[in-house]
Amino acid sequence: MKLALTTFVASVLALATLSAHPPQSSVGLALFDEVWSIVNDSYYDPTFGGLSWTAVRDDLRPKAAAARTEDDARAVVVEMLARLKRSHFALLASGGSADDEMVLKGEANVGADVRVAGGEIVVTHVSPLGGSSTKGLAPGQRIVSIDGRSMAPRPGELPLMTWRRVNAAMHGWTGSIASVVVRNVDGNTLTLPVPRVAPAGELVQFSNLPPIRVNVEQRAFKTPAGRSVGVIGFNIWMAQIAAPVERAIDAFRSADGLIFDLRGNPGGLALMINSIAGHILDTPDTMGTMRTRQVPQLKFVVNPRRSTMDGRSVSPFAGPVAVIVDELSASATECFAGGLQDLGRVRVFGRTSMGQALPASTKRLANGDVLEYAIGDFVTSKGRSLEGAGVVPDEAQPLSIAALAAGRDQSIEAALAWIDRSRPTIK
Amino acid sequence: MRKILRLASVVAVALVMSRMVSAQGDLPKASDLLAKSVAAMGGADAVKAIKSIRVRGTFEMPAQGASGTIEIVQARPAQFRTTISIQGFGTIESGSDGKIAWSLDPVTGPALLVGKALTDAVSDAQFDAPLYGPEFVKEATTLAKTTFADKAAYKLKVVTTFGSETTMYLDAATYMPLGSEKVEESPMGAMPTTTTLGDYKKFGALLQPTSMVQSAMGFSQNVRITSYEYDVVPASAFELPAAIKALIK
Repeated sequence: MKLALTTFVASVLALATLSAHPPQSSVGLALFDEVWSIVNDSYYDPTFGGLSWTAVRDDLRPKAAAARTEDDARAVVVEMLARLKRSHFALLASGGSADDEMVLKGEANVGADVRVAGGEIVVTHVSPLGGSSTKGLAPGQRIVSIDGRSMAPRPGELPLMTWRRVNAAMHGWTGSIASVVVRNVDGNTLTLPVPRVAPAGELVQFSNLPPIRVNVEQRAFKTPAGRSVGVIGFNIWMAQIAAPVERAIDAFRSADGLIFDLRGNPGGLALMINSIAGHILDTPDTMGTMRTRQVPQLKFVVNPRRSTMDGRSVSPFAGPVAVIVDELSASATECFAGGLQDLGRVRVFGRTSMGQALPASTKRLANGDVLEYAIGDFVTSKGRSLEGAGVVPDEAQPLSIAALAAGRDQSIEAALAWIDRSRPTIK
Repeated sequence: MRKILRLASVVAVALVMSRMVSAQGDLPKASDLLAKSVAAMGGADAVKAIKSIRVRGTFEMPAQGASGTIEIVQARPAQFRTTISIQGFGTIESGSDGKIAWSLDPVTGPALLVGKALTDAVSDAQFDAPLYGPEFVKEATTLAKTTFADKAAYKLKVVTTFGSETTMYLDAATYMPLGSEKVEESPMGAMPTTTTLGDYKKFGALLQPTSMVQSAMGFSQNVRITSYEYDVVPASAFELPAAIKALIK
């Protein structure tokens, strides 16, 4: 039982970075006071980094009391949380977001990944699972509009918010047709009718999180020198990735190298980094530590994987391992990449991650809203905090529209080249 | 038996305590309190008559929106296995045969426990541990009369021969356990844990708690026990999972 407690308590930490939506239903001062108290009791730094949390309450509580609408009251709460200037503080309204632009109207999507770069919305990847539905969409294209709405970044809009707005527009009900206007590298503009299709993966409902599709992909590559490399990617750190990742590791156990492609992975269950890292580390190293208000130090210790679920004795993969991250990689992904980077076990490629790496939990509030709140920090074995700074790649590959349009994945290419240069030895 | 009865914080029979002392002269001796607790639970003979036990119930972390089921089986002399199934998460298993202890869950993977976590698990696995015989109890001390879970309680410190230390709270009126405090060990480190027990009901000859709340790191998980069954556990219930077997050289 105690094991269940420690395992499960740890597991509910470091949930994915959630979108903060302006709330809807009536909450008033009760909501303000409830949220203030939760943060007051659980924030990992009792000094609040020099911020007077009491003064924040005294400053904003009258504003909450004067709120004339439900959304106004919640907006004050959001403003209060923003004063912390830390990630993993978000308020999710029980009735959904009042900001229609941010609402996913369905889980189906056009089957493309995008990133915000240079003031444009760039298609970085088109899912092969989209099949003919994504025909016409291609990496390197810039999205101009979707369903008649301009997707261009707005003045003062943070890139992450732009991405969320575009991401919401790409989503809809299965079978609905998105009218996507794109601009090719040559400057020509095309209007593409793109059917939205249901995403791959297992639908998971856990804790207070919204239903999430959990998807693990594996691909086999060859390096320029002909070495075999397995690429493993997953979209979130949930318990459901354990088995397929183990199968993928098994499939690539004799490969010359491994690449974890975690671009766009927003995080998930913190403790999973210990298990997944155990597939590539043979010693119970500490990837990092976190402090909470109640416990001064909790360690993220690797569990070297010396058996498979079906009962075979194995050894962790000993060859070179690369991890690819980008500006949408966050939370547990950053703890994994940064922790292993500081242990010297992996080489990180891609672009600097989001820098939102605080272990967090969620709590359903009295009015039905869900509060995501950080309860700990995370520092690597070298004492490096990833919050704010993110994981800086050992080899960076800026997003290149020309490379994307040419069908190249520069980060994969760089990782493959590094594997060619590496000797397949562990640490 | 200890696993389940400690889980239920049933402080059982105080037979031949190796060292039962009172920290304060006006407080009852720990041995006397433990003996009364065992008697209140149903008596030592009732405990000794049991060869195995199966506990079933539900698990909930309401604030975090998590729930599931729990099953614990234990058998003489020192076997236990706990299975917790949580919606959207999977199954958390742990067990011991009195020599080795293991855990298996989707986030950590298969693992053999080591260090103090192993010591505590092996200690918990001892079926007759609640008898608190000299082979199990190194020291028991009455620390104070205090309040726990809004009830007058005796606070006891129990140190086992395995080196495991627990602070127990016995109801000052009924002598039934109200809860305990312990620093639980895990690979992540030490985690202070508080367990609160309640809603005692009779199952067979024994009075058992049906409500348990465990708190750690500001989180609480509630367990509601729906059944205690005695002598129904087959030997196969303790067969090691394949992933754990493969870890044992």
